[in-house]
Amino acid sequence: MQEHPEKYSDQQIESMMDELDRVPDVESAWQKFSAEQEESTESAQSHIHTSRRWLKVAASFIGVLLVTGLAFATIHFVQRSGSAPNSARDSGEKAGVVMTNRNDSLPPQGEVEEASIIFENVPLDSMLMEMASYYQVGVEFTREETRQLRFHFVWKRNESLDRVLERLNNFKAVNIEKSDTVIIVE
Amino acid sequence: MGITVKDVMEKNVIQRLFKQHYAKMYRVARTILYDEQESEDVVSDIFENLLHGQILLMPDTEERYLLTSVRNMCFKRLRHSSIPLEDGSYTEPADDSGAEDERLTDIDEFVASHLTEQEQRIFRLRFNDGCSYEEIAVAEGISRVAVWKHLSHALKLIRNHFN
Repeated sequence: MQEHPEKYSDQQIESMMDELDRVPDVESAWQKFSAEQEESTESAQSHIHTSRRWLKVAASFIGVLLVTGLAFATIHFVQRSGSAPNSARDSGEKAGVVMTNRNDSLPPQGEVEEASIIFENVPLDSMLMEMASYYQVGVEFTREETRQLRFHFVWKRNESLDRVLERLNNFKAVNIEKSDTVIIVE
Repeated sequence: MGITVKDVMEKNVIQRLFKQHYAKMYRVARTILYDEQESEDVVSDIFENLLHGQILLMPDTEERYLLTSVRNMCFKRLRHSSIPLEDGSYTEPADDSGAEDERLTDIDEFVASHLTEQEQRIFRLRFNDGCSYEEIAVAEGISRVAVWKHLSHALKLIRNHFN
């Protein structure tokens, strides 16, 4: 109608002008605008709260993963440190090294010990005192010079004392006998 | 969720502007767009921009600013939409939006250079001052239908030039 007013009667144009000049309900328009703005603000804040909530969840999850990873790494490191090979044990003498191929955690006396103890250039008296303590017997030397004889001997702790002494007697330098609860070295 | 003093003051200002100028702004929008919902949307957009923007309106120019904003936004909508005109035809969407703002600011210049003096007065009374057809008719000493026809001619020229 505005483009081609000539096509319309004055009455139609008057009606259109009345319509275009109709005073709107300003109060209703304001209530509608105000409500839309509040809804928009709440929606934006809700989105922010939701986003922040998800960020907190994600941060917590990452924190748990980090702690778990650290704990796992610590446990793994401790386990690897615990299985390290034993160092040599000093017998207390000036020379001689006692080496074992067993774990550090020795079983209580009386129990069968399958581990072997290697006496490397150890004096006889030190070696026999170690054995005597294990088998709960005494040791006597008939000759003083016998005490300082040094041997390389693998003591199998799961063997009986008689068997161990039998093996030691293979050394021609010594003669070892057992009398009840005493080892006698000649 | 708290409401700051700044928020309250801004909303109060918007409320005053809304209630004071809404009727004229709506009238300007409907003159160009005809459609009621489209016209409501344009006016709401103007106030929403004020609410979230950094524009500070001076009391003696706020009406002029608001009405000119509505006018320009309506012409922009016509360029980018297929709003059917009263006679059933459609405006073609603009394809050179880069120069759009420049063209909108040239409306006043175009009006000044292409309309008769009476048409210029009627155009400014309607779109700068938000006057009703009756008020314009009284101011010009002509009939309302004559006002309608002068405005129709001005709008047609503007649409043809900027579209």
